[in-house]
Amino acid sequence: MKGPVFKTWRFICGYYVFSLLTAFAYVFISRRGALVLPVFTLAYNVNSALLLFFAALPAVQASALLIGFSWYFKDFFTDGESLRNALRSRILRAVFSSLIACMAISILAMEAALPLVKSSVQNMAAASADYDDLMNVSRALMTGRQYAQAEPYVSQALSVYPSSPEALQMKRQIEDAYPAVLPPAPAPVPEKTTAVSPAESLTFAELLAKARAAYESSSWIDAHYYATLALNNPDTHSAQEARIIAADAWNNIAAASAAGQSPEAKLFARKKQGYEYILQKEYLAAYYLFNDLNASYASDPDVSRYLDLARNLLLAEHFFIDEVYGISPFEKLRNIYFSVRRPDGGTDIVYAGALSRKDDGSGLVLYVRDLQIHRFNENREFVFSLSVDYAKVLSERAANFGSAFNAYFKTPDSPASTVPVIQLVSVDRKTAGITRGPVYSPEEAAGGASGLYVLNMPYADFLLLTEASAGAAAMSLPALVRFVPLAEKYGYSFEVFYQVLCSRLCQPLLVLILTMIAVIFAWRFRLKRGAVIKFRWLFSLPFCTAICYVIAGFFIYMFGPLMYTLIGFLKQYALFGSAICLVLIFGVTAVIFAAQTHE
Amino acid sequence: MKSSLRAVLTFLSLFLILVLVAATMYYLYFDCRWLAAGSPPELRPPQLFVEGVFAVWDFCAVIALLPVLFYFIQFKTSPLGGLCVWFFLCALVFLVIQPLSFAVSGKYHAFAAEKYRGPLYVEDYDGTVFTPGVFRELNGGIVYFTAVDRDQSAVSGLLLPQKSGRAMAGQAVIIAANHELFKNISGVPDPLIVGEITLPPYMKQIMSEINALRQLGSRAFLPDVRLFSGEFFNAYSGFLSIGLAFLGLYAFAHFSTWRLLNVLFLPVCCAFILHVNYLLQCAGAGARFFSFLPPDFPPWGRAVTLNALILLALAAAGITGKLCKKDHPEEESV
Repeated sequence: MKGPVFKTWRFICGYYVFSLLTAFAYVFISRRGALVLPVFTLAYNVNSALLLFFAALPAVQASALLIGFSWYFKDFFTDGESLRNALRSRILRAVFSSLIACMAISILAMEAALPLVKSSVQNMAAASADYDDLMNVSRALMTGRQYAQAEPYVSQALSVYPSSPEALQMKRQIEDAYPAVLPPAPAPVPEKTTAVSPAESLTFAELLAKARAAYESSSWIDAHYYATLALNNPDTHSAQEARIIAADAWNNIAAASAAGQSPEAKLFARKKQGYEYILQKEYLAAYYLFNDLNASYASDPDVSRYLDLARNLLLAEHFFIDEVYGISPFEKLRNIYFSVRRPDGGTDIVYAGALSRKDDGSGLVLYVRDLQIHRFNENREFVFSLSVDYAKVLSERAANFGSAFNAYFKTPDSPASTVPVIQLVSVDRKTAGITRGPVYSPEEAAGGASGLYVLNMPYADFLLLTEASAGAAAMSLPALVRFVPLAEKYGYSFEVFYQVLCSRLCQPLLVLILTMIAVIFAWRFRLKRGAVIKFRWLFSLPFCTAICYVIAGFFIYMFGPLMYTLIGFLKQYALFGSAICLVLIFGVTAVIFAAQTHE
Repeated sequence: MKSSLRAVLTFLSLFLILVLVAATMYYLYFDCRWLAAGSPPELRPPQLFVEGVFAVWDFCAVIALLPVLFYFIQFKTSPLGGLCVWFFLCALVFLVIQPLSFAVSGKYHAFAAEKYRGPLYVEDYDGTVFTPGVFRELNGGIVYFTAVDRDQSAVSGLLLPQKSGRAMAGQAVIIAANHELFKNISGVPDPLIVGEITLPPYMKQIMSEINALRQLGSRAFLPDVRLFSGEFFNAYSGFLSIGLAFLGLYAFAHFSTWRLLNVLFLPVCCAFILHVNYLLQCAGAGARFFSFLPPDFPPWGRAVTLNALILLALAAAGITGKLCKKDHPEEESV
């Protein structure tokens, strides 16, 4: 004998499946997938059907509970009148456990599944729009027979939609007409080496030992390098020895490079030149010099070691242009903007057209496209704007950028206390002189500006902001909770984000109340004992869902204006206020239900 | 007798509660329309609440009719006594409350026009001052004010024009005082808040249909129409005949053994009656539908014919349901 709870839930689950199928049928019949590229059609249809289902979920649940219980309440009455109290508690237990199950399902749907589905729908639509943009540019270039220029656009379009007939046709045309155009090499992972760079973290004694060892093996450049590093942070006792090694090594370097016209001497002279660039902090020149040398003397340990050193030093300030080739299809976040207060009291407004994440092996690297920064001074007057096509965002230790950035962190020296640093200038990997950098307006503002822009905020806040730009509704709940107290600081409205947070946190309570009211109606208008359930009654379900949808929609909607008023007067306590009110309302409905079963 | 009295009391108390709740929501909605993100809270004038009462009470009266039928469905009442109460309440709503609301709201508009330069919701409050330090989507771009004065004499900020959802590089506009942007935004609600409280499309549709029907009824109460003249009855009968169709809803008081089905039928039929009347009387679908009537048929007669047909159909359904139920008397036993 199957109990009434089993029957009710069998009915509810059946109705879930039916609603899901209806949503799928509707989406496939209305051909929503035609809005996106053919590669995405199926996934887009599935996701939009899920979106539709989630939008109707509160109404589906309420109507299924309403009808299910109104049919099966009669099945509780099998034990006769003597078990009145036991029967009552059985009914109450069954009802409340069902309500909590419904609430759990709706929380899972709203907070776990819905954000994923929503973002994938948005991404597919955005990727399709990108593809259209890329193809428009490609078509214009192809008709102008500018094959070389069209190639990168066609390749990017193909990376979005690999089987696009039009793009493939263009690709063939390019290859036929101009075989010399090769696809840009996939961006090599920037090599991180351990040969030289950790020297900075060594202690004086270790550096001195290294310098001594290099001196004894006649590696003059190494000896000078380590001795100079050691001298940056001298220990009083042995500073003299380091100074002697450095001076002596330098004399040897000078002597070796002036030794004559032999190829070894020429190579050594160029190595010395590169080394001097490093000492003068001209890392770009040093990098290109060692890169040239590396082409012909790849086996020379000095060359490869100092190439690595120069590259690492260079990459602290610039990035390579080829790093951003082909990343735009991976842009997940678009239209990012925020304001940030500078330590001098002024405000910067930062806008980025899109952002993509890339894992380069040593950590997360972000690339932004179409970056604009607009600076206002502390009197709120405009100072300058800069814009750049591509920039790279790194997270760096706050301690490296002076005390102004330390205020955010309790422990500024810990490796976790990082700030976002934006590299504005990119350089070519092979050829000197090819750079892409920011454009300033007015142009005078460019004078003396460095290629680095440090954001006055913790790196974690920056990551939150990239999410917040998509709107409070699209943020994940934990991110939203962390962002609400920060919203005003970065140019977002506290009210709006807090209202959305409250609505999302209170949504389960609203669902609970609505389903409780549905069960009250189910009890009042339940079937009498002995009545037979007729199949044709099933046709009332969609109407019931429609009624619930309008009523639930109205209450969920009205919660917004109510919250704004509450937030206006209660500020951050509005959440408690509304939660307490909702719990009270739920309590009242629960008591009404319990009293009804007493009749 | 006692249950009839209870039904009337149910109607009156629900009517009162609905009016209070709906007027409060009206108040809150317009409160939010004038709210600028980041500005301190202020209580709007109570006049707004009064306007809310006038704006909602006629519709609330119609909605409050339904729970009376729920009452008849739940409790055993004599069918004839219930019918009498139902007729009385429908007459009360369509012959007293609705005409009163049309007459009074016309009077109120005249009064408000004299005293406050028009009702508050029409004025669209010009006091919204956009707060600085927040991004907003305005005029097809993203706007950020670094400073705003109440008289907008000292303003600075930035406008990032957007095209197909992206800001265009190199197109940023620096905003200073007297920028033309301000000509377009004075009196505009804060898009940040309004974006969050926009009505879903289906609710907008419901609201617009209710307003269209309301206009239909209020035509008889325009200042140049003399009360109870022939012109008045011509104009009001279209709206009044909706009441005729509402009488038919009583059919569902005793329709099916499964009482919840009766409850579900009520809002669906109520929406159906209102929607059909909207389509045929307000949205202009009437001419084709009524083509079977002789062309010299008076216009008010069409509406009465339509609603009389609905009434007949509902009555037929109700009687059939009652007769079918008689075949299975054993289902009635508790």
